[in-house]
This record gives sequence, C-alpha cells and structure tokens, in this order.
Amino acid sequence: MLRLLHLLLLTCIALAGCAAASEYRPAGPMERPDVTGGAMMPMAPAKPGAFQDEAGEYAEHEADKTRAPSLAEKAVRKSEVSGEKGGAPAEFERKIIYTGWFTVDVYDIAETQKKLLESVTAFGGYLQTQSGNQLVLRIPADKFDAIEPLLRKLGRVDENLTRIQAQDVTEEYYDVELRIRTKRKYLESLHKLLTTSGKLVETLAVQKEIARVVEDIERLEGRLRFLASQVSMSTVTVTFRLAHSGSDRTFRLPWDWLDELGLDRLLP
Amino acid sequence: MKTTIAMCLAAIVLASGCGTAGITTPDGYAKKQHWGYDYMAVSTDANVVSLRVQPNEDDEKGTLDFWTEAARKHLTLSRGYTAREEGAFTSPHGPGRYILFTRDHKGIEHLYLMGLVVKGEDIFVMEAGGEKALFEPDVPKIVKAFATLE
Repeated sequence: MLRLLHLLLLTCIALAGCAAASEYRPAGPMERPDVTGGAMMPMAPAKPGAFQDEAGEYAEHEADKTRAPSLAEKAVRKSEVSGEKGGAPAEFERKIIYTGWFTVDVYDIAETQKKLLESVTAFGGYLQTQSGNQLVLRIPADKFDAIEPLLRKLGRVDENLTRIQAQDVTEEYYDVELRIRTKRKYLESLHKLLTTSGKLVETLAVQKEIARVVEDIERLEGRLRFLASQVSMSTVTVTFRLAHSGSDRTFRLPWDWLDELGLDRLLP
Repeated sequence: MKTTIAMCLAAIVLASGCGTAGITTPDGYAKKQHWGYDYMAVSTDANVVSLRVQPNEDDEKGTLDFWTEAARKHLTLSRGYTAREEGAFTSPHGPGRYILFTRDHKGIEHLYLMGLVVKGEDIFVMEAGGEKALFEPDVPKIVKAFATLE
C-alpha cells in the first residue's frame, strides 16, 4: 500500500514537471524555447552562410519584380532619401514621355516627307522607321511642341486623327534609379562577404547571389536607359495621305458668287 | 446753274465714295484697279489681295457662320480646295472669319485665303492667294489687312 502511494506521488510529480516544461512562454523573434533546459537560445540560421544577418534575407531577393523590397534595401533607400546625402530630399525633375500621332493630307507625299525629314533633322531628331506613307520620328522632347505647326505648314492636319499622349513616368524612373543604387550597395556587401566566407558551400551561395544581383542591376539599368531615352526623345508618328482633289464631286450651292471665289478668277 | 451742277457732281462723288469698301494695303503690295473688284493689290511675288461686296438679299440672307460654311463647302466639295486653317478677326464693320485653303493652280501648290464679313445686306468677300512658298509668309499681314475693312 505504501509502495502504491509512493508510485502515485511520483506520477503526480512527474506530470507536474511535464506541465511546467510545456507551459506557454511567448518567444522573441530571434528566440525559441529550448526543450532541453527551458532557457531561451538564439535561433540558428535557416540557411547556410553568415551573410544573411549582414545583408538581409537573400532568399527574399528572388522574384524581385513582384516582391516588396527587402528590409536591407528599404534601409538603404531610407538612408539615401532622408539624409545620408545631406540635406532635404532634392526636388525631382518630372519625367514625361510625349508621343504624338498625326495624319496629314498633302499633294506630294514623297516631297513632303523629304521636307519634314529635313526640318526634323534640323531639330536634332531622326527618322526611326518608314513604312509606306508613315514615318516614325524621334525628336528632342523640347521640340515636341514645334511638330504640329510644322506639319500644318506642310499640309492639312486631320484633327480627328490627331492624338497626343503625355505619360508621366517620374515615379517609375526614380524608383528604378533608387533600386539600382540599393542593389549596388547590396552587391558591395556581397563582395565583402565573399572575401570573409570560408566554407565552400557559403562561397558558392554568395557567388550565386552576386550573379543574380548583377543580372538584376543590368536589367534595371536597361529599363532606366529606355525610360531616359523615351523622355528625352519624343516619338511622333506621321501618316501622309494624298489630298483629295474633290473635283469628282457634284456638290453645288445655288449662289453664283460662290462660283467666283477662288484662285482661277483671282490670279492672272 | 454752275453751282447746281458742281453741287450735283460733288454729291455723286461723295455718294460713290461712301459706297466703296476698302482695306489697308499690306506692306509690300500696291493697289491695282481691276474690273469686278472693289479693291485689289498685288505684291512683287504676284500675290493678290482683293475685296468685293456681294448682296446678302432678303430672301437668302445668311449670317457670317452661314456664308463661311457655304464658302468652305463649296470650295472643298466641288472645287478641289483643302481647308488648312481657320480663324476670326474683328473689323470696323463687325466680326469676320477667314479660311486658308490649299490647292494646285497650274500644277503648282497655291494657298488661297478667303475672309468674310457680313453686315446687313452686304457680304464683304476678301480673297488673297499666291504660290504657297511665296504667299505663306504674307498670310498674317493679309489677315491683319482684312481686319481693317471699312
């Protein structure tokens, strides 16, 4: 009986100990409960390589287009925007891409195209493509306003088919620019890490990450060059039509003086 | 008797003078008499500016908008002109409208500028034209001359 009581007592103590070990304790972000001793220990890295803690979680850099920027990148952005460069953030120059489409009725398409190209070249522009009666021109953005008056001098501009588009890419332009700077800093930190990492597996992981970041930077630089080109040089598409003589129409109004209008009577 | 004749002549001259319309001759142009026109001037580039007055009769009285549209349609739909530019001006006789047309004339591209002012029973028809390359620089000053219609 006494042995039975001892056994019961021991069972109760053991159960009480288990309950104490499994008692809920909120863990910090970098802590996890140590089931062996009950003390809080730093969490081990989930992936090999000490660079994770230095430069942010590199796995998050995958699928860069769709993901939100990493904290490391955010931090770099924050520091760059808010003061490391010194002083208040600079005023951003607006980046607008101007595009125009015009249709012009002329009497001599080839001759008019030649005249237009001469004027566009004088503006500092150039012919991008020519397809039949259509010219695609690139002209300096600051000369964009001059194109319509020029076309009006060359022929009759069809207002119904005229279209002007101004696309504001300011946000994208500066965002891409900033992302390039951020990634360059990240790349620098990766290069530093490469010199300090000793294990082969870590070195390979860093090299792989460097290759990926370099590719990202090149892609972003390509995008930035494209935006800069589109902003600095407007695209103008001009379609030429042969002016209709109208002589085959039988339209007539019943006032004789209207027949006396025109060059035939006015000029010798 | 002589006095009466002189007074009659003076009255006729005055009357005819009052009925003659005119515009200020643009710089670079010289006036030239021409049958059928109340006013005509020609430049050394052979550009011509003219004015004549047509009756805006009771049974067909139209507004400035009406005659401008009628002239535009007549010239573009049956005479082979292409309207290139349109605008308005103000003359001492009231508001006016002009249309600049293009058309080939004797194988060369020309510009033809037509201005209209309608006042009561008169339609003031102003015309100007010339070879495109020679006439185009004169367009602004001819429109200004149209605005001097008296």
